Amino acid sequence: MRALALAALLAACNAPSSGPRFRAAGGEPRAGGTLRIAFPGAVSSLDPTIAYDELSFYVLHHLFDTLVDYAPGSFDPIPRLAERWEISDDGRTLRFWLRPGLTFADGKPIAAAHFKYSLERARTTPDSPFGPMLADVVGISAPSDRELVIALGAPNTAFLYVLAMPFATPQREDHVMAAGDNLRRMPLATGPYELGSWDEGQHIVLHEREGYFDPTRNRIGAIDVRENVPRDSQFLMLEAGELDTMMSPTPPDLLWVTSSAAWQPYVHRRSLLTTFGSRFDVTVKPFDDVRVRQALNYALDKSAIVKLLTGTATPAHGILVPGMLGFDDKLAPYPHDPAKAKALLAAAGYPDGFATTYVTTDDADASTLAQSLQADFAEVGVRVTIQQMSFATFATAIGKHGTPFAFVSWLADYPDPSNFLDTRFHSKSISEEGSLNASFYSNPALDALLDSARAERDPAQRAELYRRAERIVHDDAPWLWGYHSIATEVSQPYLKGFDQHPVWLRDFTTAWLDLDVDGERVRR
Amino acid sequence: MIGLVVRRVAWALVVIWFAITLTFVLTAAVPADPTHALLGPHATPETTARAKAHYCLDEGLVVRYGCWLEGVVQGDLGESYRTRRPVADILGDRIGPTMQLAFAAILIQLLVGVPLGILAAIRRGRWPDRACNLVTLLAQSAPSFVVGTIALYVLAFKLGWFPLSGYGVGGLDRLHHLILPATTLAAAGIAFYARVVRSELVEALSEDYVRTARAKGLPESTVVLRHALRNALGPLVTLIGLDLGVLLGGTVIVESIFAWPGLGREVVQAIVDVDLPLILGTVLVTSIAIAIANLVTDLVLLWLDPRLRERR
Amino acid sequence: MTHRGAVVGAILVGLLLVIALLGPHLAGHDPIARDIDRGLSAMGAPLGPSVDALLGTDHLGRDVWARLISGAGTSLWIAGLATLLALVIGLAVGLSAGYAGGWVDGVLMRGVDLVLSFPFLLLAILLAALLREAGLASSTAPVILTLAAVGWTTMARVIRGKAMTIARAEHVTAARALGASPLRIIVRHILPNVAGIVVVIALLGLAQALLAEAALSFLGLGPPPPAASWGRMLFEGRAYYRTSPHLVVAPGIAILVAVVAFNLLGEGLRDLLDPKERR
Repeated sequence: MRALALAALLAACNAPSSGPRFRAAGGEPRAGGTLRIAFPGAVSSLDPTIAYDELSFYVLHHLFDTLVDYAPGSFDPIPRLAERWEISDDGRTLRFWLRPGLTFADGKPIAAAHFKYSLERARTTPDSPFGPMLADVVGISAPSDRELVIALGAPNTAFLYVLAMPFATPQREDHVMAAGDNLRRMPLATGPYELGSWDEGQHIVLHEREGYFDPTRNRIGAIDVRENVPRDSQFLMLEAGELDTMMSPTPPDLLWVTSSAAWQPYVHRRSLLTTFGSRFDVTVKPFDDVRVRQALNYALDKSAIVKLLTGTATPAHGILVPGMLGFDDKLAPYPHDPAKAKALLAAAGYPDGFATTYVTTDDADASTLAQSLQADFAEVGVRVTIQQMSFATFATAIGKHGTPFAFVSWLADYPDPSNFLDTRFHSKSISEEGSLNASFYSNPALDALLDSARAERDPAQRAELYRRAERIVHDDAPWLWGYHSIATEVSQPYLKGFDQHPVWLRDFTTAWLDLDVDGERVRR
Repeated sequence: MIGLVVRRVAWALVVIWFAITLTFVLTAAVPADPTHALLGPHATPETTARAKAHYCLDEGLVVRYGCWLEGVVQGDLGESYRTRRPVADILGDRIGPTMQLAFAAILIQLLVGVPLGILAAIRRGRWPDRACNLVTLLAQSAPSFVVGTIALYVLAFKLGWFPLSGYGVGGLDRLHHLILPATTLAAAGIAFYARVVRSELVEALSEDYVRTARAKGLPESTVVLRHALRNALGPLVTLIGLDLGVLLGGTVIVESIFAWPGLGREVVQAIVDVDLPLILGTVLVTSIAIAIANLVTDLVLLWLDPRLRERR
Repeated sequence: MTHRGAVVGAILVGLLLVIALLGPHLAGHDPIARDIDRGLSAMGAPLGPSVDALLGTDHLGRDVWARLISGAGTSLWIAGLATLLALVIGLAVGLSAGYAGGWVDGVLMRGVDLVLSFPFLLLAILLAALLREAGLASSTAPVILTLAAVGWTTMARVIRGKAMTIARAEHVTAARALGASPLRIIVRHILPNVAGIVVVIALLGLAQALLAEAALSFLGLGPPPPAASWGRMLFEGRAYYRTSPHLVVAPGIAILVAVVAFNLLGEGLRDLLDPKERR
C-alpha cells in the first residue's frame, strides 16, 4: 500500500518545477544584500596557516588577501596587497612594495614584517601543510614597512604563485598569541570580508569589511554559508529560492537543469586545475612494462567517462590542464583502440591479459569510473577486481608500494606546470611513504628537463620545455590518463558579475545581487 | 538498593572502558596515516616526523593508548586531526542536537505507537487490528534513507510544510526543523511500540484483576487505561532504554539527509577521515549516554515493580 | 490474520528463493554489462522503462530488471549467510549459557551486554571499514561479517532464555540424573525444543539483515561494485529519485517486499508456536 503510494507520488513528481522563482531586477551594479550559499561538508579551520581543503579555501579567499592574486577569470598574476614587485635577473630575489594605507580588520596597519611573520609561521608550525612550499626560501627581510624582500636558494619561477595562497596573507604575532587555540575561529581579516559569526558545522556568516581599500570587491554585503547540506538538498533549496547559487548539482539535477530552458542560462562551467586518472606502480610487474601501460591507455574509453560524468569532464592526454602554460594542443589523448591494446599486451607477453586489483575511493563518482574502467579492460582480457576504501586509507595506500594499480587525482595548488609535473613525476618526489610521485616513476631525462624549466624565466622557452616533458610522460604513461573535471555552478538570475574563477572557483568578489530598491528579490 | 546502584555504576564503567578500548583497537588497526590529514600531500619526511612528535603519534600503540586514557581522566579528549578543534568542544556542540532528535523520536514512538497498540488490542482480530498490523509491518520494512528522502521531497519541498534542512534558531523554529527528521527516525520504532503494547494488553485483559474491574462495572476505557495498560509499563520502559542506545548511535543516516548537526554525522565523517581522537571521543560520549540510559531504566523498573528488588 | 500472514509470507519467501536461484535465466540481460551507447540518453541520463528494458536502465546504462533479479541472489546471499553466522554464534552462546547457568551464564550474558551497549551502527561502520581495508575489500565478506557480528547478540539472548526454561524441565533433570553428558542433553533434549524459536528469530533476523545491508550501502560500506545488491542499487539510484524514479522504486519495493515476507513468515510461525499471542 505504502509502496504503491510511493510509486504514485514519485511518478507525479517526475517533472521538477519550471524555472527560477526570482528574476533580476535589471538595475545597475550595486552594493548590498546577503548572498546565501551552502557547502556539502564543513569548513575545517579559518587559520590560514593550517586550513588546506577546498571548502575552507572558499571562505579564506574572501577573508584574506595576499601580495599577489589572479586577474578575474584568468591565471595571470596581478598585484593585490603589493603595489608592484621586481624579480632579480638571476630569479633569486623577489622584492615587493606594499600598497599604502593597508589595514587589518581591527584597523591596525599592515606592514611588511607581518608577511615575514606569516611565512615563518608556516615554516615553524609543526602541523602546517605549507612549510614544504617554502623550501627554496633562504631569507626574508623587511627593509621598511612597505618593502619586503624574499631570497631564494634556487631560482623558482612559480614562487610568485605560492605567495598568492591564503597562508601567505599578513598575520600579526600579537593576535596569533592572544587568540591561542582559538585562532582557528578568530581570523584577523586582511581581505574584502571579515568573519561575522561561525556556528561550527552549521553556519558561517561573512560581512563586508569597512575600510577595505577596494570597494568593488565586496559589493555583496554579507555571505551566508550553510555547512553540511547534501547536494540534492541544496538543489531543492535553490529551486525553492532559499539559496542564491549552488555548486556541483548531482548528475540528475545537472542533466535536468541544463535541459531546462529557464535555468540553462544560469549554469556556469569552468575547467578546474585537476587531473584524474589511475596510477601504475611502474616498479612492479606487469606495470613495469611501458607496453602494458600504453595498452591500458588505449583500452580506456574516455568518451564513455565524459558521458557517465554527464559532461563535467574533458579527456586528458597528460597531467597539464588545458589553457595553462606548457599544455600541448597538438598532443591528443590516447584513442580508444582495443585492437591496438591487445596487440601491445601480446607484445609484452600477456596475450590473454592478466588479473589485477584496482584500488579506489568509496564516493559515487569513483565507483562509477571504476566500473566503467573494469568493463573497458575486460574487452582486452584484463580482469579487474575493484577495491574501494575510505579516503584516508586510500591516500595512505597509494603513497607507498604494495598497491600496483589505483585511482589517482591531482588538484593543483597553483596554475604552474611545476605543481603538476614536478610534484607527481620528478624522481625527487619519491619517498617510501606518502610518495607524491605515486607511480615511483624515475626518469633522469625528465628530471633534467623539469629542473631547467623550473628556473627558466622566459615564458615561451619555459612552455616549450614543459611541452617536451609532457610528451615524455604521455608516452611513458606512468598514469592511465583520464580526464580533467569541469566545475558546475547554478545560480539565480539576480546573481550578477559572478564568474567561477579558474583558481579560486567560488569567488564572489566580482559579484553583486541585482535586487529591487528595497533590497528584495524580485519574483518572476 | 544502594548496593545495587553501586554495582550497576561499576559495571557501567566496565562497559564504557570496553567500548572505547575496542574502538581504539579497531581504529588503530585501520591502515591510514593520520599525518596525511594533518599535513596534506606536500609533507616531507621532516615535517611528518615533527607533526608525529607533536601529536604523540611516534609512540607505540600501548603508549598512545595510555596517553589518551590519561588525557580522558584529566578531562582532555585531544584535538581532531582534521579541524584541530578540541574534541570536547565538538562533542559539546553535537550532543545536544542528537539528544533532541533521539528524545523527539521516542516521544513520537510513544504518542503514535501506544494508541495504535491500544486500538489493536481492544479491537483485536478486527479491522483496526489488521490495519495497524499492516501499517506497522510496512513501517518497519522500509529503509530509513528512502523514507527520509521521500519525506523531505514531498513534505518539505513540494508541500512546503517543513524546512528543507538545518537546525533552526529558537524554540518554535527548532521544533519545526525537528519534526521531519524525528518522524523519519521514529518510523520503524512506532511498530515495535505498538506491538509491545498490544501483546501486553491482550495478556492483561484476560487476567483476573481486569475481569474483576470489569465486573465492578467500571467503564471499559478505565479498565483498559487504568488497569490493563499498567501491565505494559515495564516492557515499555525497557524498550525506551534500549531505544535510547540504538537512536544515539543510529541517527547517522537521518542526520546526513536532513543536515542535522548531531553526533552521528560527525562520527561518520570522523571514521572516513580516520580521525582517531574524534572517533574515540564520540564513542566515549555515546557509551556513557547508553550506560546512563540503562541505569535509569533499571531504576525505573525497580520503582515500578518492587518485587524485582528481592529477585536481585 | 497471522495464519494467513504466514502463508502469504511463505509464498513470497518461496518466490524470492526461486528468483534468486533462477536469476540468470530470468534476467534476460547481463546485470553488470555497461552500455554507454544504447543504455543512456544522448546526455548521459538513465533511460525509463521500455520494451527493451522492462524497468529501464541505471546510470551506467545497465538493465535494471536484470540487476534487480541478480540482486535478489546477492542480497539474500549476504543476508542469509550473515544470519546463519549470527545464528551459529547465538546458538553456541545461548545454549551454553542457558544450560550451564551460574557463572558461565553470568560471564556470557555480560559479554552480550558489552556488545549490545556499543552503538550498533557505529560498530558496523568501524568493523566494515576495518575488514574492507584488511584485504577482504573486494568481496562481500566485510558486509556479511559485520552483519553477523552485530546480529548474534539478540539471538543469543532469546535462545538462552528458552534454553534455561527447558534445562529446568523434568525430563531434562531426569536425563541429567541418569548421567547423560551435557552435549547429549543439549543436542537431544534442548536443541529440538528451541528449534522453533530459532527458525523464527532467523527469519526476523534475515529481515533486519536486508535492511542493514541497505543502511551500510548508504554509508558507502555495502558490497563492492559491480555486483548488484538491492542496497547498492538503492544507494546508487537515490540521487535520481526525481528524474528517473524507477531507480529508487524498483530496488525499494524489492527490499520492502522481501522484508515484509520474512517478517510475516517469522511472526506467523512465532504465533503458531506461541498461541498466547493469538487469543
